[in-house]
Amino acid sequence: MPELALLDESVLVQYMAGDDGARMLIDKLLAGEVSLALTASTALHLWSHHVSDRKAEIHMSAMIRFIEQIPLTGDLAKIAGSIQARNRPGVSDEHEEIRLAELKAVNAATALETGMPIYSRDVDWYEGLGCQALSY
Amino acid sequence: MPRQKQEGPTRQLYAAIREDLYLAAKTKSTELRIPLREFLERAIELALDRDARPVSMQQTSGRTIWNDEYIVMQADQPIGSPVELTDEEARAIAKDAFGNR
Repeated sequence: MPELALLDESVLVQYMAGDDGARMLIDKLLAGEVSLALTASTALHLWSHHVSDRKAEIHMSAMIRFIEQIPLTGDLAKIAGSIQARNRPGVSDEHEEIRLAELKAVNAATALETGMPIYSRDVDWYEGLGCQALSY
Repeated sequence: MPRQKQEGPTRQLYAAIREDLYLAAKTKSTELRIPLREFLERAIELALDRDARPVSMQQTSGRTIWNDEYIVMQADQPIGSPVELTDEEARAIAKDAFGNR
């Protein structure tokens, strides 16, 4: 069984947008060569921001089927909240950037707590927090 | 489940058949994901040898995952409806999602 790695929301978003790096990773996932996980927060963001019609819903269901989903526990929320407080973007609360920063904080907390590497295009940010980040 | 439109005239057929044959046909048509009616039509064609090919060959030639009757049926449901896919279907649809947005 391949080692489990976390992915941030950009992997599936960019896969659907036709990114070749994301495709290589998802192809490996579908071939059983890698095992991937995402947080419940990432799943929430994907469902709410990237599923606008029934076909997109079926596409998302099919992709997520092969990805383990990690629940947000109280401990993870505490660590993520602390990360978010220290790395809060300087924009108003309603700004989309705040929501994405919260997602990244939950991803970072999960990666730190579980020891899983995380696939992202924002490698420097995750590495700055001590996570093992992998580009794709 | 929406029925596929049939072309040309049709006749209804009533017959009491052996239960084991009925159950086997029902199981096979479910496995092939085609209606029992279509399965029976193909079986009769095979028996009559009218340019018939095995059902499994007819089902797979030139089809994409979105031509599958059960996938079409699910795609016709409103957003939020359950999505039920086999591993094979999910894999094909996940591949199809690439570059789709």
